[in-house]
Amino acid sequence: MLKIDNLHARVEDKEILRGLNLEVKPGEVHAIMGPNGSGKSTLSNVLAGRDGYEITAGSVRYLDKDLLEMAPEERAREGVFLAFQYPVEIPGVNNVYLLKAGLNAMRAHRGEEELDAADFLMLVREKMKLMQMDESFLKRGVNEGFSGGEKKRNEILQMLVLEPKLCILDETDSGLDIDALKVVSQGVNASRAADRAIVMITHYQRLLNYVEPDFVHVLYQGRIIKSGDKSLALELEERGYEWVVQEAAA
Amino acid sequence: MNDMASIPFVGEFRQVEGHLPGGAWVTKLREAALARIGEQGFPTRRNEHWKYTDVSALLKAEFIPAPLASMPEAFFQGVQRFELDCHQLVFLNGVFRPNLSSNSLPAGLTVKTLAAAIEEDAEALQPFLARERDSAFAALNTAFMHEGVLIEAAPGTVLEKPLHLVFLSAAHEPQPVVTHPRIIVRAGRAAALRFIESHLGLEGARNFTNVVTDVLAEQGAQVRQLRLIEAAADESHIANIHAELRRDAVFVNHQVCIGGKLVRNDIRVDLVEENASVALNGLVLANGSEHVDNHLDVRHMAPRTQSDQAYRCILDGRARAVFNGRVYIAPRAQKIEANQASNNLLLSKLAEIDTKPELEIYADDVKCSHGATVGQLDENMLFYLRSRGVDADTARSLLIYAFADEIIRRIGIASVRAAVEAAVLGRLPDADSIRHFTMEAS
Ligand SMILES: Nc1ncnc2c1ncn2[C@@H]1O[C@H](COP(=O)(O)OP(=O)(O)OP(=O)(O)O)[C@@H](O)[C@H]1O
Ligand SMILES: [Mg+2]
Repeated sequence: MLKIDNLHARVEDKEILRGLNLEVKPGEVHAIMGPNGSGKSTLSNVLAGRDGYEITAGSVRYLDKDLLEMAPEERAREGVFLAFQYPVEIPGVNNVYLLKAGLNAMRAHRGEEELDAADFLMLVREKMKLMQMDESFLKRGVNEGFSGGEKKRNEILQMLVLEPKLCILDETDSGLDIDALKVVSQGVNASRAADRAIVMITHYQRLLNYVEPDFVHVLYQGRIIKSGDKSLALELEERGYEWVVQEAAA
Repeated sequence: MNDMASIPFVGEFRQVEGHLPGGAWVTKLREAALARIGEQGFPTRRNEHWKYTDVSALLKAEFIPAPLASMPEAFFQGVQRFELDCHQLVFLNGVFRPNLSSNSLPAGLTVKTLAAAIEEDAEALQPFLARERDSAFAALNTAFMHEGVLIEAAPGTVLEKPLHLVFLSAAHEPQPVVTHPRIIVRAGRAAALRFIESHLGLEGARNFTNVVTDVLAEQGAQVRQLRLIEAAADESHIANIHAELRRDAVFVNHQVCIGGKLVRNDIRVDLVEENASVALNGLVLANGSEHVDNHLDVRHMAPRTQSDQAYRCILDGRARAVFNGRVYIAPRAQKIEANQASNNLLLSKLAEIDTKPELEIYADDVKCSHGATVGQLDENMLFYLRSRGVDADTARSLLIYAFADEIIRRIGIASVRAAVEAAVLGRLPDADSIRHFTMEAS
């Protein structure tokens, strides 16, 4: 589904991704861990198509297309979804409108008809229930005045409504209280499917207790320096990153 | 009066005076206004309050005064465009058209054309007609005033439906038309009324509209005014508005300015008795080389008065806008609350905004805030929307609309708000894809 090959990316003359390789197949769940500043959010932004990154080498194939050639909205319509580490507030654009505009754009792209208002609302209500979000959130501006945890839930709500194929979650678990973490995990688990892949960026083992990954990777200075199964996350939690770094240097 | 002939506009006075309403008292008023213009002339850019707005081209242009112009046929399709559930008065190139206007008015409300009011008893209107105004254009209006409206709400009258004054402007050949509408609104004790002033320029119009409006809100009265100025690209519009508020009175003015070669609005509000309050909201959309200048002047003359100014400009192309917000608080006018916000969105590198607060505070128990922002569309917001599948043009329009909506949503009457939304959307690229979004959230 996703194949990243020797990816190099720079921001304002600073090389941040430095030869990153990663392959993700449908149905898989990957966790990416790594110290602050190692390039995790940069990777997710590059995949989602944010401006301002210069790709100096390497390639990203997604469903056999050149992902880097596509505009952000095309990527979204082809099924790439990024849950942002810091979701932006957009006063005046209401939440339910964004859901509807997004969903209709996806459907049009797939040659499907727009959902009528009643069906759309039913769908959204069902997903909101799963995320334990009050309906009053629909009428508010996108993330406007939402608490940190509410923003993260809203990201997952969007993911549930838009039904992407490749979900990239950038620290969706950060800033969540214990109950919210469970709710968000349920949302993620509900999204697991044979034709869908999930890439979770996280600093904590906690999330991985709820959403079990098939693979765990360590991203360090713009490269994946170690990959393993879920036991790697437990080991990192216990021992930190130092040993992995030394092992990689050896 | 020989040299008077060389002063812009003034030269035509002798040709039209026979068409203008009013007896000897009004004639004296007109002559005095002309003399004033003769002495003081029109503002130049050396005048601090006209620093950014150059009227020299306007003063050089040739216009025919409204009473002498013929009635273009092209008009009548323009009228339906703005059907609202209102009592409606229609003016075509400045001339009142009774057959297009509604005539059933509720009890307690008197509406007369200015000409009729002046012919009947001009001196009764003296406080309005003879008001000192520091403006040559207002004096020009006094000299030439011909058509307009007098609106009077008797004490306690509460008007359900708004009054809609429609000023349509159409191309007139070979010369464009100059009109000087005069609007007088008197709301008696505890009366409440709303009126809408739509100045709509049909395509190709090059006319000049020079409005003067007076509002008097007696104790506990509430007056709500919406000015929608949708000027054609080559039109000019200058307005001088003065409102006086007595104890507990409320005045709300929304101004929506869409385009125009030169638009200049001066709004002065005198809060003369305790607990009067005013809100001035404005939205400016300009493009190309359009120019829109809003000068607000709020004077807190009495204790416990409140004011709120909120203006937003959205500028594209080489458009230029000016916002000057003055707040004056007189000595001994204590316990005042005054807020001002000027927020501006520049969509192109060549667009320009000059925004300036002017605070003069001579009392000490005052809560006052002011803030100005100038910015571009937020890249993070754009990216967020696109990452959810919204195409780039729609995302831009959505954000522009959301910025404008902060002002639009303050308009109380749903049908009027919808009409303003439609007018604003009409100016945005890709309006269709966001139109349904503006309807109340589904
Ligand atoms: N626009 C930018 N300009 C300059 N430096 C940048 C920019 N964006 C990212 N960086 C730098 O790139 C490096 C990687 O940042 P990134 O946000 O990808 O890290 P991260 O792995 O997500 O960290 P965290 O765990 O703290 O979220 C950091 O050193 C950061 O300061
Ligand atoms: Mg990060």
